[in-house]
Amino acid sequence: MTDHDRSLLTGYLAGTLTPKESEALNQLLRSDPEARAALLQQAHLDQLLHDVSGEPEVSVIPFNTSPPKENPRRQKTLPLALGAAAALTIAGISFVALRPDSAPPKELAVRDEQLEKPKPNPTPEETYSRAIAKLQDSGSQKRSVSQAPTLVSAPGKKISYNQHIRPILSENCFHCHGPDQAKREADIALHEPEVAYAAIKGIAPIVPGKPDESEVVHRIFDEDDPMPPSDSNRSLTDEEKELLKRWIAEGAEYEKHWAFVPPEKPAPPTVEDHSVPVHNPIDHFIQSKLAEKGLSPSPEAKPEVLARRASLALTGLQPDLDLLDQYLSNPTSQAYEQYVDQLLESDAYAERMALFWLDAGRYADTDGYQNDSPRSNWPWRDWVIKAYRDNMPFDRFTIEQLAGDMLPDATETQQLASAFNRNHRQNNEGGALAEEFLVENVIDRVETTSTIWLGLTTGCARCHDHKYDPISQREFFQLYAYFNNINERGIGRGIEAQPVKRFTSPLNKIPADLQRKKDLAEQAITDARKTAPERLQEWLENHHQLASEDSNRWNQAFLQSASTTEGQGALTALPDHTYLFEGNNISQTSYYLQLKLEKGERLTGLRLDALGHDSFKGLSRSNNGNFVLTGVNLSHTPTQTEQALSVKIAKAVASFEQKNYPAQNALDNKDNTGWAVSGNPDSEASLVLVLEKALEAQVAGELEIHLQFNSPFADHNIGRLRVQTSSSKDLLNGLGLQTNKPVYAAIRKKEADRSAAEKKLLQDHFKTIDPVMKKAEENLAKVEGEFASKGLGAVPVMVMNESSGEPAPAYLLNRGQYNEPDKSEALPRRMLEALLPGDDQPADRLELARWLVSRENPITARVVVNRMWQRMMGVGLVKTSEDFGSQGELPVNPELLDWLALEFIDSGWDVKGLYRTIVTSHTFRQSSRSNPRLNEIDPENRYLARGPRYRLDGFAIRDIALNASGLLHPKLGGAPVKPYQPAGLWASVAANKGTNYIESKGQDLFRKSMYTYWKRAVNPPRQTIFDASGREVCNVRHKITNTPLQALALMNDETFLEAARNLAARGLREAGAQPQERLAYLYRLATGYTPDSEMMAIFESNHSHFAEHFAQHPEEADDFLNVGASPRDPQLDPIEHAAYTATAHLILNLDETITLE
Amino acid sequence: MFVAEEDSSLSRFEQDIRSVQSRLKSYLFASVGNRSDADDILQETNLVLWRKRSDFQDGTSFWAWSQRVAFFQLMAFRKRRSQNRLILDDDVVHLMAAEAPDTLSHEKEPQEKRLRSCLAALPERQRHLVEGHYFERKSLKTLAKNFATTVPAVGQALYRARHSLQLCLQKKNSTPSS
Repeated sequence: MTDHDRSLLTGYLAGTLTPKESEALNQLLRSDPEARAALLQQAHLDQLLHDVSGEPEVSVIPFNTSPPKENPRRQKTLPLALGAAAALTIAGISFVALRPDSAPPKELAVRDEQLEKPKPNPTPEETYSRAIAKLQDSGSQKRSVSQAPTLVSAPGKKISYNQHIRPILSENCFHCHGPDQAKREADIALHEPEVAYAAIKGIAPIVPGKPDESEVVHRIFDEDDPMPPSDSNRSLTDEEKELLKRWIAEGAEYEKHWAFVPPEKPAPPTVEDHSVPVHNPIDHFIQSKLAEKGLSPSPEAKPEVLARRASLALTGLQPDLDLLDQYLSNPTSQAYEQYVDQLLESDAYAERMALFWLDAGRYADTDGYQNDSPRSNWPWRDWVIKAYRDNMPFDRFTIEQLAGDMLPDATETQQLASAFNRNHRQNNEGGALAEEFLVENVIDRVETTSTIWLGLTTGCARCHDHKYDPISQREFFQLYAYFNNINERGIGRGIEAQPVKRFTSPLNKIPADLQRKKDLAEQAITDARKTAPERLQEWLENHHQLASEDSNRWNQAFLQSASTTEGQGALTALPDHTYLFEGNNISQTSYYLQLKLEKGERLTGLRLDALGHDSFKGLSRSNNGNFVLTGVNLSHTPTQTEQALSVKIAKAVASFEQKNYPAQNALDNKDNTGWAVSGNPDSEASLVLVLEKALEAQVAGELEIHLQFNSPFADHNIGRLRVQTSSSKDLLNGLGLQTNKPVYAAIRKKEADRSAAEKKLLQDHFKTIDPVMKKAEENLAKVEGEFASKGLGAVPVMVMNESSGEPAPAYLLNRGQYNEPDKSEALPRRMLEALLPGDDQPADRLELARWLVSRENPITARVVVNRMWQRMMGVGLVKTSEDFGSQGELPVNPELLDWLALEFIDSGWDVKGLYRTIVTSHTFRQSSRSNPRLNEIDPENRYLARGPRYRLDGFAIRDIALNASGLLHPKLGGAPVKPYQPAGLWASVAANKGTNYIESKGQDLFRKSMYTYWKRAVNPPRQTIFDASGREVCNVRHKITNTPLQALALMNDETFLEAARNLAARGLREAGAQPQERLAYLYRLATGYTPDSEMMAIFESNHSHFAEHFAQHPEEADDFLNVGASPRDPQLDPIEHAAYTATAHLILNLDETITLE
Repeated sequence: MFVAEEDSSLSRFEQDIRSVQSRLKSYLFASVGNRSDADDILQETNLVLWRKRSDFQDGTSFWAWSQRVAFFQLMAFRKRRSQNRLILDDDVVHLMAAEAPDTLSHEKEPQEKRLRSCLAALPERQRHLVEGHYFERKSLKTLAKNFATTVPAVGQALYRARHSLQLCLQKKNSTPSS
């Protein structure tokens, strides 16, 4: 530790470090354990000194245990009175910083119920659990209107287990007396008749027909020792107790959970009231339920309202004015249906539906976790858009995404579809454990598949048997076994996380000639692959022959002389006719070797072998035993003419090449390049020089070999040298072999003598040199280059690719921990027993996918149509669209849900067809106006006595503004884009320095919001504000909130100001000259509505206010018109433009604009 | 209802919590570099210790257990806090978390009496610095001015003073206090 280090530590504790010093401090603490210990001790002393000097103590008791001394009624006002004692109240728990001299804290948290019914002094435990209960949101909105059990709903009617009893038991009892055996209390369970009826020591929890003998009844009415226990944070109302008692009196009949019972298609009930239209069976079910509840349906909404509603629901955009006018010119029911068909045919429909699927499929453009690296799975996103656009039946949609890789002869797009199961997060943090995150990935697949297709929260069963639903932990890992067999590594960046394949967007429109080229190139590869075995065989035969002759091929050369550059060492012949170099501290030298050629001799190549020697280490006298051959020249001098002729070398091949020093570099005679061998695994190194043309010596002569060692490194010249010559014709062919010793050894053996490993080695080696394949690959690469240059390039996409052979085993993981597998038993794959009993189980992922969309599956069609209903109506028939289990909501209209489910299957899973049925029903077409009576009976509009009305999501809100302004760029699919976002947002949360958001340019700023780059660690803030899900894991339901932040975003976000400016410009350019015409046009562009006179008056007064304002402050007009990257229309008068921009901005902020109604 | 036995176990737990307060705070302060943040995290830590008190296994080290809880609260705090307001890097915080249980294991509390006598034994200049910084709440800068020296020099002197105090406390702790 230096003085500097010490002052760093002190500065840190005193809070005075500069950023630079902070960095130095981190560096110090990172590298020096002593510094870390010193920091802890210094902090300790610092804090002791502080305390001695009178710092107030932190309270160690989070709540007060002493009984209240005053009337609780008065204490409710206490928190205010306690201001002096610095009280901080968080959700009912009070923290009090005690000063030694201040009064002891008073009981602060008093709940309203206690005021009504004063209880004896609460124990600390009670106070505590109440406080915790307040901390956790109690989630009381779970039960639907139909579920609030009332005795009134039951008189005369037999009590239904599914409708009335299961919700009570599930909410209050199953946690301790349910399916989870490990946590079961007192061995009593109430979820199944077998256990509930069983008597223990003569006492049975439930005795059917005999409430008085049933322990359950005793205990729920027991005031001293009630069930659920008073500290359990659960309680039964008097009505619920009565219901339970009556149900037992009526025989305590259990029913299978509704969602596990296969649906039967109910006949649509008849409707008595003919005052409103009935367009299709949906209306029969809805109106019959309304009649039952004493409600009546609403009349049809006004045509422009209806047209806007359908457009928003199906496309997420306001109506196209041409389409709208066409419909409004003759707004018959038939015209509406045609209008709906046009919406369903639009790209916007496909994009809108894909957006919902991206949320469910947890699609994102980064890997998540700490590093959150970018990935490029977006071709899959385009696959989804295309599937919706082409109206791919939902069963195929399912099978291709869950098991596209396993389909027989899977096409490219089917393999791409399988990326669905790879959209999970992917950890590439240093130190992340591959086994751990492999398990996380697989579990994510199970949970996502379960939520989307089964509507079940199987994730609960990862660590223990499900507390409410019949899903055991064992079954969870049996599902797991379908998804763990793709030979993945678990960690690493997504773009490299095998299996990965390169894909282009299936939406790309590829020019026919280019596609043809690609097809041909791919065909050539396929053909080359098919014929490869023949070529391999041929090559093996030829080269076996060649290699066998090889020993005869090289003849050691006897040099006439061997000399070096004057004064730069010397070459000495050894008895074995090799030449030893002697000399020290040689900077540059050359070897001159003379070789005699007899008349008639033929020379096709030379071989130089660098050898070791006892007098030096490695292959030269240099420190590291390396050499650099920077040049080779050959010249031939026939004795007669004595005229030297240069001999050209075609190729140089070496047994080993150091990186950046390939053999071929020896031929360029440049001093700064050469052949070198650092890292050579062998005791010698060889260089083969192939002559361009065989040298046929017509007469005797001499060959001079001139080797240059002109590198800047000292003593980097060959230490001992052997020269060999060859007259073999086929020198070039054999070369690849000599340089690869194992291959060379293998090919010299007879075919029968080669081991399997050697055969494989030869096969692999051939692949690397197969000229036919090489050519085909080069050709394909060229075509792909052409694709890329046209923006049609392929990017890596994480896909599934089921391993062949024995599947990877799956084990039950204790407590869901990756490192605690129960290896006593490898679990066989199987579907949940509750959904698919028996031994006939899907054998693999493909069969599982097929079963999911089979008629035998009771739940999937219901779950899927419920989500489709939710997308159109705002709320599903089962509100908890993610949970159809026992903790989920019961369907508000079960018959309709079943009818829709079976209608969907019967139609061949026709997605557009079902949406069409929903939006053409009278139920969808109703006016959404409510009234006080309706608000009282059905405030959430669950029975649908009126049409849907809900705030749009942030994606639609931005798209609507862009669309109204004419800025929206309608390009379909492609790489994600980066529209405006507050500066520095990424950098402030990113784990790595230099993670900056680089805004897109031009039209990419104005693409639909679904194309906005989705970074998992930093979601697009505009979407976060409007309740978008984070895409970390599967999400099938959005909450819809209204918060001030949203209003602030709409008012101040650059996007909306810029949209308003462009919208105003459209008004000025495209509408008449009168302000009324222009304002009405702006409103119509944003909403599709025509303003009434009251509205017009507001717009006009707003506009004239701003016209006056900007006339007085022209400089403000300039500023106001300067927001956003799009250019301003210079033709427009700035004052006028600014005034209309202000009103356009008002219009984009209207409730009408951002609400589906 | 509530039985006496439970009461005594609660008060024992309260004792246990008290016994680690100063160490937890030291640890947290060293990790966040800001006293009031450390106090906030300590508050939350205490709440969690109470909530999870049934998880504590008798016979194991209460200090080690509570430090682990404090570490998780610290990490939660760091997650809430934006990156550029955190001084120490994640890896450093992890290293300190791993080493803190040992480094601070022998610190006893309360220490006030001992500390005061150690303080009295400090060389005068160091004592004045300590008093100026901790009792009069003077910044390093002001102290440097008062003592006609530089900020780094004051920092080093304070460092040494605290180091001497620590050694003195260790010595006193190993012998019974008066």
